[in-house]
Amino acid sequence: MSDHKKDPNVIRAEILTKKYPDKKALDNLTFTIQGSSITGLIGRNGAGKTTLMKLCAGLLTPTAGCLEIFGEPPGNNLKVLTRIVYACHDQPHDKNLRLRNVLSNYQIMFPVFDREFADKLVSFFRLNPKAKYGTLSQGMSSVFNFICGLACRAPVTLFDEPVLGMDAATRKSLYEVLLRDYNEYPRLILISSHLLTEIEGYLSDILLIDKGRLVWHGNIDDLRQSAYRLQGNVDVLESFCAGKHVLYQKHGVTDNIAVVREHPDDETVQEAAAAGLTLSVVRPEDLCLYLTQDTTEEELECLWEKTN
Amino acid sequence: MFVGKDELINARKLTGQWLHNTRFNWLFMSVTFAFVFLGNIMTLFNYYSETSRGIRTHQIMDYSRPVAFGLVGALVIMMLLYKTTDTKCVMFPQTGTSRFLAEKARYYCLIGAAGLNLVVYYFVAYALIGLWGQIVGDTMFANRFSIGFTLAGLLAWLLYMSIVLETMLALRLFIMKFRILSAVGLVLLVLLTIIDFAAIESFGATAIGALILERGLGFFLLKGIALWVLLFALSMVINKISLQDQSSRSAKQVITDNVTLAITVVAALVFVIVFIPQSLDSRIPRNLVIPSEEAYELTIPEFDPGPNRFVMNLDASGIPRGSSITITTIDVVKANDATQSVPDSDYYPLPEIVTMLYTVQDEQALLNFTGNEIRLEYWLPTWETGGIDMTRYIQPRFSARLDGNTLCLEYQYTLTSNAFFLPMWSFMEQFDTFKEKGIFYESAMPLFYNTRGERGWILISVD
Repeated sequence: MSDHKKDPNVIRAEILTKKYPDKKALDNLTFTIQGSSITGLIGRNGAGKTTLMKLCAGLLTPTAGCLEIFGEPPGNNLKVLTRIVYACHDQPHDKNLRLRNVLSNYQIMFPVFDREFADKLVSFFRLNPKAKYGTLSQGMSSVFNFICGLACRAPVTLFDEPVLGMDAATRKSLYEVLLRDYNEYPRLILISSHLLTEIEGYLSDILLIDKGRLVWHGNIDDLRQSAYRLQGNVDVLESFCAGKHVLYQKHGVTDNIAVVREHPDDETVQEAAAAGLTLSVVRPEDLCLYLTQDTTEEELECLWEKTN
Repeated sequence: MFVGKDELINARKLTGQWLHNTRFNWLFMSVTFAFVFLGNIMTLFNYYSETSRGIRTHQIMDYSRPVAFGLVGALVIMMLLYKTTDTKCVMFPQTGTSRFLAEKARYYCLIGAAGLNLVVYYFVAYALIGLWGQIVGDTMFANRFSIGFTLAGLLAWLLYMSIVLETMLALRLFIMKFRILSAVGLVLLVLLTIIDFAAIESFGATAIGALILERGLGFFLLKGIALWVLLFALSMVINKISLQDQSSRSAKQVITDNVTLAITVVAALVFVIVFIPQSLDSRIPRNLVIPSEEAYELTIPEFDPGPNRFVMNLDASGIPRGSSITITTIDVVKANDATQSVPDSDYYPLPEIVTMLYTVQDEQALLNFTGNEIRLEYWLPTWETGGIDMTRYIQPRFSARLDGNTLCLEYQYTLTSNAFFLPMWSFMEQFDTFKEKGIFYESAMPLFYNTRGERGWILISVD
């Protein structure tokens, strides 16, 4: 796309910080997203995903640091804002508007909004264009907002928790539509979620944040290769993991597991096998969990401990 | 630039979207207006059930004042609820300036629609009553319907409401910073508007004073536009430097970037506040209103030859010398009797207003008649209400004849006529440029209470 040719950095954040009166939502976040991709913005509840999305959409102002889209700050910048669409599951459309009227609004405001495609999607997802926005269920509302966002065909498309309230079949259809449309019209699609399992097959990159800080940013395959799981005898396991960055470990009666944050090269694989340990790949979802988990098994057990 | 072309286009799109989304509200509002207006006009046709004698006058309500008050109230509510309603288009590309311009455009759409509704109301009222007059025959307009005045009033009304709007928008700074204080400020502004806009002058707003005192419509509009432009720029600057508009630039930066505009605004402010009022205050008298005592004084007129003066000579050569001539009358009253019968109150029943008075120059000459003819010099009654000559609606006719030794005086007038007053832009009377122009409540109402109706007068003499 021409935008990408001019400036390879579609989104560039440098020590980006956003403070609310009661908390710091983003803390010195630095990353760069280049070219077209479907990037997953992954994080737990309150990690700062929506804040980052809204900053990208120019709806919020950074407290410190810098955020640029196509080389310019998005806030109050129509040149940039007309190339960004932000779609969340509960867009604050007028509840009395009919769906077709909401689509007309998008058509007015976004120069490349594909109305025909939007109408087709409305029909595909079995929505009634004459229905009022306020009468939609949570899932249908999420579907409709996804349609609005996708049909804008904006060079930067931001989906904030787009599948909230949707049933499994609809979610699957939605991801397939997303992937197919991306293939037809490559662009940067940033999609936030705290459920990675469902979308990992559609993502090319992952931006993992926790408590406003960047935990991981890169290709999803690299994430898969960034850690491995070991299973075996507890003593052997502890000996093998000594000096390594262990993300997670669990000692059971028969099952002892450890997750090590390290690329499993051939030598490691051979050593593990020689020690009688089973080495396997960690699922990205689990890895994200280990990378962001801040509660321990002990804390969990303490919940049922009697104080006297 | 202060506002970019893209921002203007964006503001237009946001406004267009809002207009499209609220089109049914507009339709509903217009239909409601139409029903209220038509209901008011139609009640006037109940006059046929009335039985009073003489000319009947009807006052059509002028909505320029209540609509203005309702509009200001609606604007206050919209502004206070703006943060809630604004979120409905937050997902679309926009800047603080284009959003503010779009918000302004919404308010101006409301003002424009209200003004247009008023003009349509005036025209419909005029057309309906005119049509009714053509069909029925005894119905007419008391005042002349002036298209020029109607349109000038519309312009001035729109301008005035725009100035009020911009003042309110400038107060938005307080809404953002001090929500409660601003609400109090807005309520105060509304109260001042309802009482009288001139009251603001007492707060030292000399620019407003210059507007109130201006008599010429052209200058009034020019000054009003200057003040509006100033307030418009002021609200834009306030919006620009407020936090809401600043995603990446500090207030200092904005001012520095727009230094030319800032200088222009300050210069315009100084010019309007200092120079214009000074040049006007010296030559415009402060009080141009006719004192109410003089305006509404009720008097029996002295002989005052006027335009309605007529002379009639009756040949009395056939009447025997020395005989006495008696006078019989129909709707004519002897002056002294009439004076005694005039009630002390300000209220005059309609039939008395249209009764003529007569006086005899030499009573003895009639009792012992020796002349050849009787000379009747008479003035038909004139009736002016609200600065409008209503005489033509009475259609006064006087006739006199000698029937033997009896002088018959008969005064006739149209028994049932209906004259309609259509006051316009009474809300604008607070400005000197609209004083004594058009029909306002204050000037039309005396018809029913404190009239300047003048009686017809007959002076009888013997030649």
